[in-house]
Amino acid sequence: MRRGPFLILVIAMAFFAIAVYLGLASLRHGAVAGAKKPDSIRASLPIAGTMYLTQNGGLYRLEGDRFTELQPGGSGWTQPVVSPDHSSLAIVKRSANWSDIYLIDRLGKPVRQLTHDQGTDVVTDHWAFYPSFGSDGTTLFYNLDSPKDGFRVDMSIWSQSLTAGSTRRWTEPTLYTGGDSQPIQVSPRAMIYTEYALQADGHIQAQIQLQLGQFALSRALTKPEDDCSQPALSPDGTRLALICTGGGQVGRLVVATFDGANLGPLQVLVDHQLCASPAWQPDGQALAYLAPAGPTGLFQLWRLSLDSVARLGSPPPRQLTSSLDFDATSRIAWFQG
Amino acid sequence: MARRKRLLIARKRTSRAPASPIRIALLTALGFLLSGLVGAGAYFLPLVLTAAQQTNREPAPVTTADPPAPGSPFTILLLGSDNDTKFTKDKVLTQSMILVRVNPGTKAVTMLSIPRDLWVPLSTGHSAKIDLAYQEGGAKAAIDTVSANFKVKIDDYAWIGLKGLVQLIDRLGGIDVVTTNPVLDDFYPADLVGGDPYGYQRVAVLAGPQHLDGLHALEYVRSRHNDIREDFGRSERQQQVLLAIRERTAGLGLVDLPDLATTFSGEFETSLSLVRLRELLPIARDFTAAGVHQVFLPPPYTAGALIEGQDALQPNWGLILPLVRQSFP
Repeated sequence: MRRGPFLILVIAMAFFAIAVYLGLASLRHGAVAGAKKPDSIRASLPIAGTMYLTQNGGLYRLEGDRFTELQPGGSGWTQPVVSPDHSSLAIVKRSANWSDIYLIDRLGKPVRQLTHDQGTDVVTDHWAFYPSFGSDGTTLFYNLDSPKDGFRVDMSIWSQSLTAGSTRRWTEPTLYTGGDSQPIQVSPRAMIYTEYALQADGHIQAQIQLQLGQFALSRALTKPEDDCSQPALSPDGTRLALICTGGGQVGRLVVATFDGANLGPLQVLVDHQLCASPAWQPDGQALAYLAPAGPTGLFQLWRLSLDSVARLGSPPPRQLTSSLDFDATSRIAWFQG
Repeated sequence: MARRKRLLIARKRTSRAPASPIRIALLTALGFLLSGLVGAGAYFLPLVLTAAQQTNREPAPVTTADPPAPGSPFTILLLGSDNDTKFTKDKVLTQSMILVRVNPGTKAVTMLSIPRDLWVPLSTGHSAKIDLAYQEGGAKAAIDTVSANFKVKIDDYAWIGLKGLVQLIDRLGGIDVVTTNPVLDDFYPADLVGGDPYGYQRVAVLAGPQHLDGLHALEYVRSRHNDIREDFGRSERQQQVLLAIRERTAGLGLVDLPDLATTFSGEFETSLSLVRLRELLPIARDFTAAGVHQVFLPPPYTAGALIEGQDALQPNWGLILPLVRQSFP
């Protein structure tokens, strides 16, 4: 064989070897792209009003179909909630061994630090999570791991007067379970929250509790076996959206009527998805929630029209994002404005 | 004369039959085949190197006279250890022992968590907490101890260290789990991120559906100080994460193994051969959550006791063995 064609064949074979290597590498299941920053994409559908979400410690605002970064990723921001007059938000800033609640303006700028949970060591540090405003906007409810003792670290529900700064503890948690979480004031005298407690079957499960007054005896609104948590009260106060797992590795989105004292039957809106952090559209006609989508398993933003639930029975939810990585343990703040 | 010779040679050259096109085509195809094998070989090289070190490890399944036939049920002992710098390599306790029975035919999996504080006769010749078996005699002692006490035939074992679990989960892109309750711990070892194996850090894994990276998944399964169910709660969390890992690995194939192999770097050992591991990948794909049966040994199967000055769990074999026989025939 002449030297020229032989050389070309050898080069082609070398390229073939490289192509086989790269081809095998491209077949890897795990070769999935990482999450994008929310402000680098647009939602697939515009939303009504304004939404605040967090991803990897960054705070983002969604208006229409556009995201805006208000605090950069890696800053520890999570669980934003809007004040009743929509002028500010309360939000958690999480550090390595403690977390604090801040008031921020609508542009994401810190206005005031509401809790001071950094101690001198792991024993004196505290966690504060899940802030929510009282109905008149002058009280902030949240859960705090205080008191704690030795190995026992459980959350109790606390409130803080935003005018006087005084704090009050509301609940006595079940010890060694993680305690009480996700408070929402539903009337001037009543508060609902998620209680984690050991059940008769030996599992720790979540129940929505209604409590009238500080340290008053609470009343369960859901059954232990439903394992419901993450309550979100509709804008008109007549319905609750919840995430119920039934004690398993599922996250059903359910709604129930609520008259301020009693919860109606649970209606499953979304099953077969790992739903988290429901939030009501400002007009109460839709719910947003977070759930994984695609091969990454990362949590994306979804929207379910309740109008179509009434008409069609079980319409498909609409996926609004596809390449993000929202913090699924963070509430979504959604309001008109 | 010389000119004549040259002419003769030239004639001979020109008169040599040209190479047949079939021969050329065959040689070319062989060349491409070899170069393809070189490419594939380079890709799978890390797997082969790691496999030589970390799979097919001794002890070969000593309790098994005959390896299970393809497609027949088999039992694996999963071991997990706190192998941070406080401990000498291969001299670690097993913080997690899970017996897994896989039945490819019925697509059923049974997972039995063995409490680490269970007080049993060890194969090394004395009685102690079962987590000591691995420290005293490695995988062989752990297998023999579990096998002798639970009367179960164990076909293979797999051991994973702390960083191995973190790296595996990160390599899979994280896992989706429903964390059952807030897992809070003020005395979680700061050995992986803090650099001080005796230091502490605070942990708060919030409750609910979420995506966890390796480090946070480890916090979830390793934390033990604030659980009313003590080690049983932790065992339940370990099984949740194990199932979430299975969910993520369900789509894996042979081409994913080299990456996984480089991920472990000394943090994983198994008696399974590479061929057997490859066979297991499609089996993992076939199982659904409904086919998974989780077994724990809380009271009355066990009872807390102070034995030789240690907080331990006394087994009630009268209850445990019938339960085990149901799931691990």
